[in-house]
Amino acid sequence: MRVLWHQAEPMSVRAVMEDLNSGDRSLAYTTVMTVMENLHRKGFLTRERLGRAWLYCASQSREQHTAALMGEALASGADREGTLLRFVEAMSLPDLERLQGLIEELLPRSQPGAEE
Amino acid sequence: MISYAALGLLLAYATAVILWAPTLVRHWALLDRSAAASIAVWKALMASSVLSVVLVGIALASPKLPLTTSLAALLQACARALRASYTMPGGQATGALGAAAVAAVLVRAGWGVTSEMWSGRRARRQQAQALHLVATSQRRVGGAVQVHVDSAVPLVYCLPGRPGTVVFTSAALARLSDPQAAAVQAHELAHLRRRHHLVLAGARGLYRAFPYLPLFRAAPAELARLVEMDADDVAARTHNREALATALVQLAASPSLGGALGANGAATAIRVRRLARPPRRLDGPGRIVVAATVMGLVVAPTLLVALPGIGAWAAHLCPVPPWASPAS
Repeated sequence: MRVLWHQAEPMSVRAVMEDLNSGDRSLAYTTVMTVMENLHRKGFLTRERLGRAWLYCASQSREQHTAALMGEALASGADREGTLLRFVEAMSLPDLERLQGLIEELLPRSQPGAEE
Repeated sequence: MISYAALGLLLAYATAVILWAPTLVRHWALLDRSAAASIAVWKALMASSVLSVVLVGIALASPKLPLTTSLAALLQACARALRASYTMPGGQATGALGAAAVAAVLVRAGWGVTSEMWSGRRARRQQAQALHLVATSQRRVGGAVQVHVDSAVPLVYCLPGRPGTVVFTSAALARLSDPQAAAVQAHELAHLRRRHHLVLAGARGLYRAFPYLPLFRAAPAELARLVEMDADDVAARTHNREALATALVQLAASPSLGGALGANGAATAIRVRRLARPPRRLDGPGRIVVAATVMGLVVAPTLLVALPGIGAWAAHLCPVPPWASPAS
């Protein structure tokens, strides 16, 4: 995915494989092809034919994809959906202000010599 | 007859638990000292009420069940005594009713719980795969995978699975100091290690199955709050409580999309209070009381149903004069 996002243009399996192997990795063509086909099947890549080969392209940019995922996470909630568990649930602005007041009251920070 | 009384008692018990347990539990001050204890009690209440109804049904249906009698006369006599203590007038009808009731309750509960447990699974797997692709970094921490993603939304969450995933966005990390981030990580890992998602799925499943019953209606939201407090407690054992409390406030400002904002401020305020002013830990005697309650809740229904059988068995071993034995 990194390779495809980086190039931002349609690439064949061979081109992706060459890019991946430019370090000291040596991945087989079939390995790369299988992975890319899987990614296509799961919707991460789109493809179009060019002659006998497929040219693959990322279906969304990394930012778009991340934003979509975070959107899903934000819409979820422990007692409603249960897909995931957020560290802290969203709250209204008045509640947030009250919370900030509470923490200042309970944990006076900048008192020198205050133990605990 | 003994069996009628026992079954009546059992039904009354189940009804009382289903109707009034939520109120009683919320007022039991001892439980405020330990979120884990509260969770155990809620689980026991739900299991106990379902078990009670199932046992009533089984007891009603027992005359239909063939009792395997051995060759020994002793056992035949026992079997006769058991049958006598369980048989009731209109036995056929109540037996069928009992069996039907058991089947209905079990199937419904099973459907509810199973569908809840499965519904999240596919979505979670897809999310986990997508996260691994967009992550800017990932590493193994405590049996789970911790993932950082590039996002302007300050968000931290965990995704249960095999293995579980803990997600920190770049915006969240920017808001947290190192001790705070470590404490939050410990909190999320506690969720995964304790399999809180299963507890919540079970509660939601029973609510789906029996939505009009107070106990099952109250459980999901109550348990959602309790598991957060439990994870807080676990994290506070090895990390700075205050760091965790301030992290809560730092991250509380992230938005929600169409989600209910209602009770969350209050629940989070309670968490902050608990972390800043921790309640006295549940000591030995307290733990014993809680453990006894949990065990009692689960065992009591079984004992009540077994009483007639025990009575008959005891009557055989200690022969009762004819004028005192129950009419067969």
